[in-house]
Amino acid sequence: MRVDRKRGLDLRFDGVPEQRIAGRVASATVALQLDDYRGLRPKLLVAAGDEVALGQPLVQDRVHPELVCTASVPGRIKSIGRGARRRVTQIVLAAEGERAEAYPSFSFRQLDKLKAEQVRASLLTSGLWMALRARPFEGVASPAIQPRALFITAIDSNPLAPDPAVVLAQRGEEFAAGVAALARLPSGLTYVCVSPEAEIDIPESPKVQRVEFGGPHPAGLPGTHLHAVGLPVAREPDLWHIGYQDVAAIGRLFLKGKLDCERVIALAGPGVQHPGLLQVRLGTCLSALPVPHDDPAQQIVSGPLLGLAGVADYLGRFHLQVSVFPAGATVPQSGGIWRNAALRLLAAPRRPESLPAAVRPRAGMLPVEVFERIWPFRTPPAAILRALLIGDPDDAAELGCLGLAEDDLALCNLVCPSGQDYAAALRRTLQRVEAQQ
Amino acid sequence: MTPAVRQSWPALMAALFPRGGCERLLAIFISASLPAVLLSAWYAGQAVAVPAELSGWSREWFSVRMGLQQFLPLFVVAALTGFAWERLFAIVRKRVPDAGWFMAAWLFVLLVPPSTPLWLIVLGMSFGAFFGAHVFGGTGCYVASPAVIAALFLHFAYPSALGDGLPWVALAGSAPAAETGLVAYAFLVTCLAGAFTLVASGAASARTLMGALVALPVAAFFHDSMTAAEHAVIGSFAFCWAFLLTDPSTEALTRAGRWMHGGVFALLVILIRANDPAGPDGVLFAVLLAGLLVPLFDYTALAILRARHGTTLALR
Repeated sequence: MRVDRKRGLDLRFDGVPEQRIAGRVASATVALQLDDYRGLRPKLLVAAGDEVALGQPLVQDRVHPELVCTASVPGRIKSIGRGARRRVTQIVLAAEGERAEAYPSFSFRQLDKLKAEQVRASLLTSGLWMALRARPFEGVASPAIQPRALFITAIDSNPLAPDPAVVLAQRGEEFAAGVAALARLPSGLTYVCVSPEAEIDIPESPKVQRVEFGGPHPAGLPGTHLHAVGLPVAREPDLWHIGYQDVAAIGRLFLKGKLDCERVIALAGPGVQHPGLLQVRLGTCLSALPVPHDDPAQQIVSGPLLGLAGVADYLGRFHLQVSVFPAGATVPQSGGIWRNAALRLLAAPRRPESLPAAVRPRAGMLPVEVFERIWPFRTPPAAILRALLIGDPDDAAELGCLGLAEDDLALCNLVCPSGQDYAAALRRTLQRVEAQQ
Repeated sequence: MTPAVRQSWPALMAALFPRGGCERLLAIFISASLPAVLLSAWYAGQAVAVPAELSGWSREWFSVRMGLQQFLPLFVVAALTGFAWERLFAIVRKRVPDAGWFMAAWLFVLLVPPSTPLWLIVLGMSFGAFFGAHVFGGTGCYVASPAVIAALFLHFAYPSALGDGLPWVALAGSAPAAETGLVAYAFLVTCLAGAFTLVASGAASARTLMGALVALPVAAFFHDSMTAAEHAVIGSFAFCWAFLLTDPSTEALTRAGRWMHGGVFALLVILIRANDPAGPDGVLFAVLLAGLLVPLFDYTALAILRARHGTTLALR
């Protein structure tokens, strides 16, 4: 199956990464950041100073105790960060030693015959289950639900992102094994979403379908894939998706019985001297990366650039890119007559627009035509965006907001002439829908 | 368009509409309407006798200057009034002021005759800013353009003070074609160019504009005395079609709604022109009424959409 879309927007930034894995960066500390897992109610299983092995559970969910987050590096618990109401938000580990948990391994041929319970058990004990996210609501996939379909995102259309084909080039067998194992989970199909020219091998199976997505960003977002396939979104979060590197890690878990916590990220942006791909640990400390750290004019952001990236100390769980931008950098702009000095004088004083900073809206939503040009779905963008801003859960759900997550609306935030934050409005509305149930 | 241009097109649009950049949108509207305004100014300046020592282009430039000399005082007063209201509401509501006042003042002055006294400009702009925009929440929230509200307020409340002068934007359209070397058609061309700029920059919907162009000949067919082309050049139709119908705040939310918005606007123009001898132009009323109907159009379009697609967002 192939889906080609014209609508969307490819932004060009300086510092495009060279698509070659340049090396591995070891970090003395890594952090498990629990805010990355939406819907998780963490209960601490370790204390500061404890020795932990790679893959040892650190935190479990209060509702589903089998849901655990595991250590991504063998070592010692350095500190435990708490947020509002003493909720655990961050666990920092200092890397030392080689201890690692072992898991059952299977041959490639056995994977097709595995029972769904076996796959679930392996994923849950290893903590790789946490890589599965479910829509609507974009939370951690619930072990109590059988998914209707699973989307494997093996395409990345974000600017300055790593190329999945390059990352998976050496790990074809592990990726295929991961797909085969994950395909045991859903009642329906497993869709492997790739870009048309990508050379990614996918196991032949009636339960696995390759879907090629062409066109500009957001061709690589799970929201786009979900709607292209056309499954109706239910109120129960039973449409799951997972990133390609986590699938390869799951493949290694099943083939070798070892937990793989290495990920390949793109280190890019105008502030990086040699932008390229690096192999790092999950939750690696950003100060370990080869970028200028003590330069106050540069800011290091973790995550996709459109709307979601934030200045951080540690790599986010689902982030595959780290970018360095001059502080206060704006989205690239062309000059020309629109930046007329007289008009800028007349306009209200503007704040510097840095990439991650939110801008306070000055006007109500203006349903200009430009939304139509970046919106990949059939629903009228202005109608759903206005329903989100109003916060009407029924209207927004009828227009299809349940299939969306924040990243799908990042482009709308970017082009909105009145500076509204639709991603935040979506989250507010989704919380209301969730509360109604 | 070359492939390179087509590829960089969306990136250019993102550059034109950065976050929090309402004034970028304003700049697009102002520059798109500038040729039409300059042509109106030139035509208004024709009334002043050109000094004998000028020749060629400097004669025409003199007329433009004379026209702008009438336009600018009105605009400055209207802009100051609009800005005062904007600041006041920004302070009261603890918000950052936005640039919508500039647009409202610009359009309002173009919708009143050049001979309007300044105190009426202050009064009209205040009414438009207060009841047209700010009681609804300002730019992006109002249901009808404050410029239209302000102009219609003056039209109803002070008909004698306004005199029988034509609004700026109707001057060229009311010129007898034979006398003025087709100035009315030239005005239509400047408005078309402005509309094209708005569509190309992603500010205005081509559907709204096309809806009006499709409905105009259909409606004109039933109105025997004039053809669609005559309707398009006469009065302020061309200007209001390009720059008032496309006001981003009153734009319909759905594609079908946009077609209906434009179509009903053209139908109303001809309906009013055919049946109301007191309002021979009727375009402002049509803009207002079509704008008030927009929520109905959207409601209809969304009801059809829901019936067809349910809760699935399907890809185009």
